[in-house]
Amino acid sequence: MKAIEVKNLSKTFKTKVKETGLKGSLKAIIKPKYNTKKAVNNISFSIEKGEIIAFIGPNGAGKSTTIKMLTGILFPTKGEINIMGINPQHNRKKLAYKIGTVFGQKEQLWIHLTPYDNFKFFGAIYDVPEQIINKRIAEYKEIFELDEFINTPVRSLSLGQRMICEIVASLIHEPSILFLDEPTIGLDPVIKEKIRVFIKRLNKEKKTTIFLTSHDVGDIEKLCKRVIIVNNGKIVLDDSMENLKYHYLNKKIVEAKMNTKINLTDVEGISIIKDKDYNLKLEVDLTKKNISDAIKLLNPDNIIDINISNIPLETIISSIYKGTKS
Amino acid sequence: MLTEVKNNLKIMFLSLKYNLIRVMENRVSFLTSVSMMIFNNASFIIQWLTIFGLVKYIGSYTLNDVMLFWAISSGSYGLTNILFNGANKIPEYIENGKLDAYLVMPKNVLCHVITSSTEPSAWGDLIYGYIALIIFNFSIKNIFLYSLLIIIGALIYASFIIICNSFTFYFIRFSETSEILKDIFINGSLYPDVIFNRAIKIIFFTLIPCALASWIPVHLIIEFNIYHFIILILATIVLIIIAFCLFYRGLKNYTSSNLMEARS
Repeated sequence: MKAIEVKNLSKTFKTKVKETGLKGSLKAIIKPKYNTKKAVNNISFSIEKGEIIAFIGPNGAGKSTTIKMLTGILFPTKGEINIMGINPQHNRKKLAYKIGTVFGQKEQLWIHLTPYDNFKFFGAIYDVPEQIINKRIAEYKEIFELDEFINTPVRSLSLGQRMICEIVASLIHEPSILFLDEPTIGLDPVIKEKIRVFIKRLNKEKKTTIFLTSHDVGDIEKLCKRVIIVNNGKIVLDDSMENLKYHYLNKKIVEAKMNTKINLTDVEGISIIKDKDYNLKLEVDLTKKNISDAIKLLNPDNIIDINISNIPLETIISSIYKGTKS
Repeated sequence: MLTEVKNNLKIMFLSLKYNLIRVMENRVSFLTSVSMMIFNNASFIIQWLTIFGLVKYIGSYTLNDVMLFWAISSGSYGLTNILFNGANKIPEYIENGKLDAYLVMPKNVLCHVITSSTEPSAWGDLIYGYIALIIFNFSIKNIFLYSLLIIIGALIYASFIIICNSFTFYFIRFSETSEILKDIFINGSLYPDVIFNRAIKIIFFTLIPCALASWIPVHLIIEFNIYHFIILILATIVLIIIAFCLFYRGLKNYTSSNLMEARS
C-alpha cells in the first residue's frame, strides 16, 4: 500500500529583485521587479507504507518546500499529492491526524510550558483521550528517560532535550507517517544515536513510515533503505541505499605505511591522494584495477601497515550533488 | 460540525489556560504591568475633567457619558489582547514562517493562532474599564450590558486586526500600516462621535469600524435599543466572516520560510 504518492509536483515562488543601494530601493518602490524561482520542478515519486526514506539534497534543493507541500503547509503550483488517500490541500485537518512532523529548525512546543503540559496540550489538539495520553507519556518517559526534565519549562532545556520532546509531541497521536526535517541538526552524537535507535524501533514496531531529510550522512546511512536525492528542484536519484553504494562504491581508499618509498604516479586505475614520507594514500578505481593487484604493486613485503576502506557515503553524496549542479 | 466547533473551543480555552499559567509565573512583572496600565488609562480622566470644567456638554454628552467611551474601549481592547493577542502576531508568524506549526495541526488555524498568545498588561485595560464604569455609570444592568458589549467589541476589534494583518500574506511588512490602522481604530473609539464630521463617521462605520466597537455600545448603555443591538450582532458576524475569509484566502499565498533567528 502506498503511503505517499506524488505526481508532477511543482512549486514556484515569486521573489522581488532590487538593485543595490538606496537608488535601487527607490526604483523598486516605483517599478518593482520580480523573479520567479521553481523551488520544486515537476517531481514524482511514491513511498510504500512502512518505508524509511531519506529525501536529501544540498541547501536550496527543494527538500523543505516538498515536505511543506506534503504536510499541507504550502499549496503546490502544480501537481498532485496523495497521502494515505488524502489530498493535503483539500483536507489538511484530516491529514494532520495521520501525520507527525518535526522540524529541526523550528519549534512547535510552547517554550514557557513544561514538556508534560506540552504533551497534554498536543494530545488535546489531536483529540486523544486523556487515559491514552497519560499512557503514551509514561511510555515515552521510559524510552527517552524524560523523568529528569519532564517538569522543566521547555525554554530551560538543552537543544537535545528539546528535540526529544519535539519528537515525543509529534508522536502523541501515533501518526502513520512521520516527517522529520533535519531532526538531528546541532545535536551531540549520544542524542543523535538515541533518536536514530528510537526511529528504527518506531518503524519496526509500529510500521510508521518515515520521511527524513537530513544533511547528516549518519542519519541516512543508519536509518534509510532508500534515498531520493533532489537538486535544483528535480529528483536526480531515487534508488535503494544498497544500489547507491554498489554503483558508486567502485572505488576504494588504500592507506599504507611503507618501509621504502614507492612510485605509482603513472599507474592506470590508481590515483595518489597523499604521498608524504613513507605514508601513502591511494584511490583505487575497481573498474580498472582490482584491489589485490594494487597491493601487489605496493609489494606486500614493503608494507608496515595497511588500511582499505570504502569511499565515505558523504563523498558519494556530495559528488552526486556536484554532478547535477546546473 | 458541532463536535468540531466544540473541539476548537476546547483548544482555545486550553490555550487561554496555558497563557494564563505563563503570565502568572512572572507575578511581579504581571502585577506591575497591570497596575501601570490602570494608572496610564486613569491619567486621561484629568484631561476630561479639565474639559468638562470649561464646558458642560460635548454635543449632548456629559462627563459620565464620555467616560463610557473610555470604559467600553479599554474593556474591549483589554479583552482582545487577553484572549486574542495572537491576532497581533499574525504578521510575524507569516513573515517568519511560524504558521507552519499551526498548519500541521488538525484544528482551525486562525482560532489556534489568535489564542496562542496573551498580553499581561491588557488585564489593566479590562480592570480599568470596569472601574470607569463603576465610578461613572454604576448599575447592575449596566455591568451586565457592559460585559456583553465588550465581548462584542473584542470580537470586532480582533476581526479588524485579523483583516489588517492578513494583508501581510500579500504585502511584506504591511504590519507597519496595520499598526497605524489599529491606532486609528483605538483613537476613534475613545472619543465621542459628535466631534467627528460625516466623512470620518462613514469611515468609522465601515473601513475602520471603531464605531461598531465603541459608539453603538455606548449608545446601547445610555439607551438600549433592540434593533441597534441586532444590527450590531449582525455586523459583528459579517466582520468575523470577512476576517476568516481574508485570512484563509491569504493562507494560499503563504510561503513559509526557513528563517532562524535574524534581525528584522
